[in-house]
Amino acid sequence: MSPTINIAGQLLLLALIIGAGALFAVRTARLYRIMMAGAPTTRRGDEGTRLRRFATMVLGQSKMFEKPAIGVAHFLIFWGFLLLTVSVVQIMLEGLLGGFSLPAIGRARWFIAANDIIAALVIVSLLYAAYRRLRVRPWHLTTQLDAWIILGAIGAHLTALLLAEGFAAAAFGNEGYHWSLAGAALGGPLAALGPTGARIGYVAFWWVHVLLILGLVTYIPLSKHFHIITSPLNVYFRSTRPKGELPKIENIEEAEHFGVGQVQQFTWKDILDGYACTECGRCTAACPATLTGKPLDPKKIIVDTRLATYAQAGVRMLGRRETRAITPETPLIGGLIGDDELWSCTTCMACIEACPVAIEHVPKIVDMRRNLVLEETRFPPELTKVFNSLERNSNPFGLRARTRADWAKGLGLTILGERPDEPVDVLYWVGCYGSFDERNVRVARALSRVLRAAGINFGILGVEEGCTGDPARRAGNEYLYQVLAQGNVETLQGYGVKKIVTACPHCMNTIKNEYPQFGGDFEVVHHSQFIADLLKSGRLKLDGGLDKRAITFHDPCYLGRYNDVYDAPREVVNGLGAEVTEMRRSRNKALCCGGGGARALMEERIGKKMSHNRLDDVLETGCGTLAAGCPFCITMFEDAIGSTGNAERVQVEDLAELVAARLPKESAGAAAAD
Amino acid sequence: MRILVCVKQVPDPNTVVYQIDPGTKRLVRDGVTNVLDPGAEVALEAALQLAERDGESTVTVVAMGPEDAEDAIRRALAMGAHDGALITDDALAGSDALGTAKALAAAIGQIGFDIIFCATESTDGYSGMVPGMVAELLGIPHLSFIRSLEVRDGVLTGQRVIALGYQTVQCPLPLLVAIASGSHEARYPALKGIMAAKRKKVEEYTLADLDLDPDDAGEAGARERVLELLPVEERQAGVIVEDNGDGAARIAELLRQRGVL
Ligand code: SF4
Ligand code: SF4
Repeated sequence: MSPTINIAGQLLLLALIIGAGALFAVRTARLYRIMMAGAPTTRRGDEGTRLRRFATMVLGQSKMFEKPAIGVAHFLIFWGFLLLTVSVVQIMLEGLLGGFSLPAIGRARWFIAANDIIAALVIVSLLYAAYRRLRVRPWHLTTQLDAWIILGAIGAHLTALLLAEGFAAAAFGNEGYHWSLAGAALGGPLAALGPTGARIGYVAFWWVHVLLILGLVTYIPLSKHFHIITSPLNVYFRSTRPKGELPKIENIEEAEHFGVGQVQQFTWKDILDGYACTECGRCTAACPATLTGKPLDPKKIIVDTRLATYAQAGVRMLGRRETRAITPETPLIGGLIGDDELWSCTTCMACIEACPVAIEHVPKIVDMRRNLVLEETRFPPELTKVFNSLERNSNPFGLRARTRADWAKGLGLTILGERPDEPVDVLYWVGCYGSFDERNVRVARALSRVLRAAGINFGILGVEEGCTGDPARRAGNEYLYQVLAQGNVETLQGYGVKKIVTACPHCMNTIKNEYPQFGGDFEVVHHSQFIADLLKSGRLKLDGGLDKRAITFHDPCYLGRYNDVYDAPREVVNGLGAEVTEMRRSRNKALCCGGGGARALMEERIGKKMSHNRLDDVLETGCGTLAAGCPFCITMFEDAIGSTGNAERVQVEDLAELVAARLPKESAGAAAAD
Repeated sequence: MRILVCVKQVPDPNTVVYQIDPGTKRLVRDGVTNVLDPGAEVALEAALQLAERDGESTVTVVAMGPEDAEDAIRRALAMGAHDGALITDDALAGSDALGTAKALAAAIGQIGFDIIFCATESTDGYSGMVPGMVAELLGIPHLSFIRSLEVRDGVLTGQRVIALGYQTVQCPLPLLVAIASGSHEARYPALKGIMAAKRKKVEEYTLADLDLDPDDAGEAGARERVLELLPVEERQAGVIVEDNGDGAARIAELLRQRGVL
């Protein structure tokens, strides 16, 4: 017997399917239209990379498995849902056409059995997901009604399916057209209700399960569950540009607006990011700002862009407690997202790294900062001095540009401008901290000694070097950044520089990944990579006899997550005859020191200091030496160590300093004017 | 209202290293970045806020200086001033405070105004005399050390910083206010402002345009002479007396040695 009973039932089902489909289409189309009205961004090309990511992140659910239990559960739900989609098609056709079955599989026992097993596994996974929300309750997972609607609807839908099968078996016998695994299990007990009861049960549960799935279809675009459609697309369209490259504002002098002040100014991909967010909170759990009580929560930034987009589209998200009244007129910044949230970000990229659906938080935050700086001129007051100094002195400290090379006095280094006819093999890019900051000048001098000892023909730009513009760019002052970048690219090209080594991952990232936007193509390596190579090739020899102080290493965000350099610093430590004792969070999960995104140049007024938080990880290792590879980190840690009174327990040293201290006596003597 | 703001280009006070030329007794300007005087920025900020509140005013900045002082004017225009005037003439080099005031007053007289804003003093010369002189030359009242102000029906009401706190003062326009340093947080120019500043008008005035003689201003007209310019004595490190029971006696001894007791 067909569950739709007769032609009236069939027509009713048809009407429901058309109705649900239409509602889904209308809602999705609105969201699609508002998305495509976003600013352009090119997400074509590199199809190979895109498909590979799709395979691992979507089909393989790779990021999900970083949390194994929910990873397995979600894997089952994901694949179960895909396979069950086929059976939903079968069921709908069966109801519409009365007893129809898909060729080959529709009534194949293996297909039905597989469906039942999957349905059961999915129900178990859903129960685990519910258990996690009720009992485990990870702090970063905020549960909205939405989540319960989805878990409940899918679970009820599948339960109804299995029950319908059970009743069918009870009513018609578990064989032929009505055979199922669920029928085999439930048919017997349910037969106790008698043939009429079983028939009613069959028809009733069949309809319940159909109504639930149709209801879910209409609900999806208004829910975080929209991610089943949007997040695979989002993974596919993720940027294939270098991770550390922020989009450039082209023709900035003629631009009509700068950065993003309204949600429509985001690119379509930014808007898609909003649609794709599953509200899992993994970004929240990784964010150094959230972890130290700042108002910033990367998940909220994404959810807010979504809410703002929905408001524009005239669509409301359902199933969420929202105390704020959000209208199309609600300002994005200052209305939904507070200034303090934006200024708390260190651009450490831990959020992007953690997100299972490839959402790109950092460019959005910087875009909104751009709006605040370039249009609204609303930013922490400390930045005024920084911007003015960058403009006037090409360093953020308010120190005279003319004194930029004073750190190198007496070292006899080659300054490119002074010996234009003697080309060097490598340019040592010193950066503002290395040039001006007392603590980091020691690093610059140490690195110079190391390069000397290895017999490298290198030089520096001296006073012709200027700030790369990283702090200006990350603080949202794209205009100032462009002026600085342009100047540096011209200087570097003027001297025909090809290869650059630097001890600053921020300089490295900007020159390597962002100067190509200004026609500057240079090979840039971090000094850890350079030194690791020198050690490997034997050009650099170090004295043995290292004391057995344990060393831990703090991965700088701009070296690790931004440029995927994780091994070189560890190889350098190995070259010292030691092993890195890893911190609780290291490599791509390393916690930010709090210095990036121009944060090192702003006051940290709210919450615990991020550097103190990271220092806790350091102290937990019990290591006496904290090896670092970034001047921002060194500055932040020196401050944290000093202000928490931990100078006795741990010292922060740059890799170059550790290496310089182990140079054999003769080469050290020859090189040292230090 | 027609609002005028006197501004000045000075060596960046944050980075300048004061070197004194023993011959001219002037600062060596070589290799120094010049900026819009931070004090003038504060006066400009006060003026811009007034103009914004009233919505119908124009703000004109007036500066005297070498040709490149136009950079300081452009910065002021980027911050939001509507147009600028630069008094520049080789014969103006070496002007004393009175010479400067005469030139400014002459230009201001030609431009016309309802209210003039000045910094209390410039961040390089610190004479603090120019605002008063300009007001005197124009025959208008001068309100000094103003930290906040409001204009209603042609009357200015403002708060004047005094040692005890502040006075509330009132005066009909036209007049000149000298803005207390640190009373306003000068804005950073928005990018639109920077772009617009490139297209705004800066009128140039020479001595001849102002009907002034070289005797009125410049080196020739300067009656005030700087006899000597000395660097500030470096501050000596203090002495920390740790109290081991005899603290008071040791402090008394130190004071006696210095002739205080
Ligand atoms: S970049 Fe870092 S600080 Fe900024 S939101 Fe992401 S995790 Fe938080
Ligand atoms: S942005 Fe990504 S990591 Fe953060 S809540 Fe959304 S889906 Fe999860």
